[in-house]
Amino acid sequence: MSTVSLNGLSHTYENTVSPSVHPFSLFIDDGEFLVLYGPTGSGKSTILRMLHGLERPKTGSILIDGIDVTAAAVNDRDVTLALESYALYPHMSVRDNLGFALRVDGLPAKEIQARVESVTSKIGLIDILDAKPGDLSQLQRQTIALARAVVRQPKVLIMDEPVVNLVPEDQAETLKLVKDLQQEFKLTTLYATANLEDAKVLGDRIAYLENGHLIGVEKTEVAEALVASSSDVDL
Amino acid sequence: MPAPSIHAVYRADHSAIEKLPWHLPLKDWPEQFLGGLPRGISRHVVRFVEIGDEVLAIKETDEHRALREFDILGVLGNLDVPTVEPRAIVTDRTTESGQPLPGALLTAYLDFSLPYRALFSRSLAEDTAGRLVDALAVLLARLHLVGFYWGDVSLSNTLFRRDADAYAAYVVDAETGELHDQLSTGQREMDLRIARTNIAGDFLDLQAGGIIDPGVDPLAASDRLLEAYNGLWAELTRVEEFSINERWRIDERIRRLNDLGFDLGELTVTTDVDGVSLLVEPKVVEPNHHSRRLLRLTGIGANENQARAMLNDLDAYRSSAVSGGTRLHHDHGGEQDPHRDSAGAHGFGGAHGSAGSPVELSEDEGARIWLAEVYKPLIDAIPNSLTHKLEPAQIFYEFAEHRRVMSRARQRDIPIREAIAYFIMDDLANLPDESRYVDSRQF
Repeated sequence: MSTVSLNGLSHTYENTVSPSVHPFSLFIDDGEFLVLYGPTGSGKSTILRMLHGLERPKTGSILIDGIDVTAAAVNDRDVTLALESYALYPHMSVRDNLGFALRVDGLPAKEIQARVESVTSKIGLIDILDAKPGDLSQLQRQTIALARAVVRQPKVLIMDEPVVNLVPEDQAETLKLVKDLQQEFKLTTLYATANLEDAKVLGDRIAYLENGHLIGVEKTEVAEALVASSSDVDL
Repeated sequence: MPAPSIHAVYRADHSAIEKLPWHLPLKDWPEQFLGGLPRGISRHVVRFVEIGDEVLAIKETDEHRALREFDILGVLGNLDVPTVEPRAIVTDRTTESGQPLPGALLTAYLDFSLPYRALFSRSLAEDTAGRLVDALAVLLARLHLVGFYWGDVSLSNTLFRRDADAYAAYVVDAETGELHDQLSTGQREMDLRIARTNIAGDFLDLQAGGIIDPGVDPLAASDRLLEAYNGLWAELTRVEEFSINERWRIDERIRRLNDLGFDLGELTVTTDVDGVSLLVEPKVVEPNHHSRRLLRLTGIGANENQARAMLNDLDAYRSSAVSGGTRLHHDHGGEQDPHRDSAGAHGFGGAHGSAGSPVELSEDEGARIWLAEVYKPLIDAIPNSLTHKLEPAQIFYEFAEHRRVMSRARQRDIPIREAIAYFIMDDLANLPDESRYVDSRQF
């Protein structure tokens, strides 16, 4: 669990003049679920990519737990993208599908077992730890793919429209799952979406973006008013 | 029921694609339309259909992603990156009752390609894991050079073609990819991080399925990718500083790049302020150094290592043959051949030297004769029933190896026709067909 400080952060893509993200500052508290909400091209994905290390900011700094990671390598940030790895391996049990990335990260077997069992017991998967993906429902498979990010216990979890390609019924289930996982494990989470309803379901706060500008950040209950009033904002 | 929208490339069979049952979810398509089952791990429903003389892979995915991937694959192809070729996208699909269905992306089946899982069941070669990973490292470096961030690097998202004693890797799933003018360090790092995790997962899964030896270390395999990639990337991109008196080291750099299969298209050489050092930086490096040379000389299309082996053979043949008056013995069965020496210099690393003062053939002339005397006799001798076993360039490589082993065992040069006959009977006929591997029920 960690805090994130984005200070005067901005970004401009190569060979473009107009910034994709105009300078902004934002503090995300330990264990908070912040939703970056805005239409396509509003800059929400670029913010996540800067936090993740895929894009270098033009200005500003990124602090995780007070440590400046603006220029840190991807592997030195402890930021995980949910569904970073999509594949569930057919011959591997649920247990191994969840734990293998920890093995790659060099964790000892006991620690891997403890983490996998801790996560699966909290999300109702402990009884199927020895099942193979082929025996599972689509939703269970999606749950495992999401849980794979959680067992890594990253300082910051980021999600970039993870439900956008799911059928509506799976979208609702997955959103609930995302919310439950975040609440259960209190991971500091940033989630990008262009769907206000999703944002309202998920976030403790909603940061509203338009054309690369951070219009405002409000608690979820009042965010709708912020979005409604944004047409008055001069960008 | 409105007809779906089909956007196809010029060479796709538009009318045949139209006739497919687009009103049905892909998983429910009747067998009569299907040319095989999907392979490997996929997030999507994938099926194969046979249209004319082409097999197409159909992936059901949302329309936006299908369109995006169609475009990306097209651009990658134009950039000469090894990838499957897009054929069409289908949008506005509905069921008979009008319920919307996802879009579909159609790509051409890559002939003679194999998924990594199949290679482990078909090859007894040592270090198959290492060779696959090395091929993937080359592919990843090539993708990064053209500004492609893959986002889901894995053996599962790659197809492999045999390439002499190595493999050539092809992008088969670009759904998560992004094309940029130039990648950031972070994008490359992320691809490597994902690759490291996914490759370990790919191999752990093979172990769990009993497909590979438990002795293979999946983590070592994924670490090998990083090592191979980082070494190659450094050679392709790093700035070197030389003394102004060491210009020869520029040639060394170019030679090393050639050995790795790359040509130097553009090099920046700058002198430092004191005028004592040169800073040398490759600006444009192009892959397929050997493939391009072989194509130019012979018209044969081949993967890089196949081409390297053939060029070695061609060069050996050329240096052992002479132009001009010296008449040499021939190994076809008694006739005389002005281009072969009495030791049977016939390519395939054969013995060199001849009496008198031989004049080496020009490169073009040597290639022309090598093609007629060495390559074509082999390819023409392959019965039609066996042409689906391997690509011609791989057939040549396997034949050369077969002949070399025979010669060593019998302690004599094996005449080409004899060697061809043994190769076809003892080797090629026993190989599985690899031209179209579309059924993976066993996996």
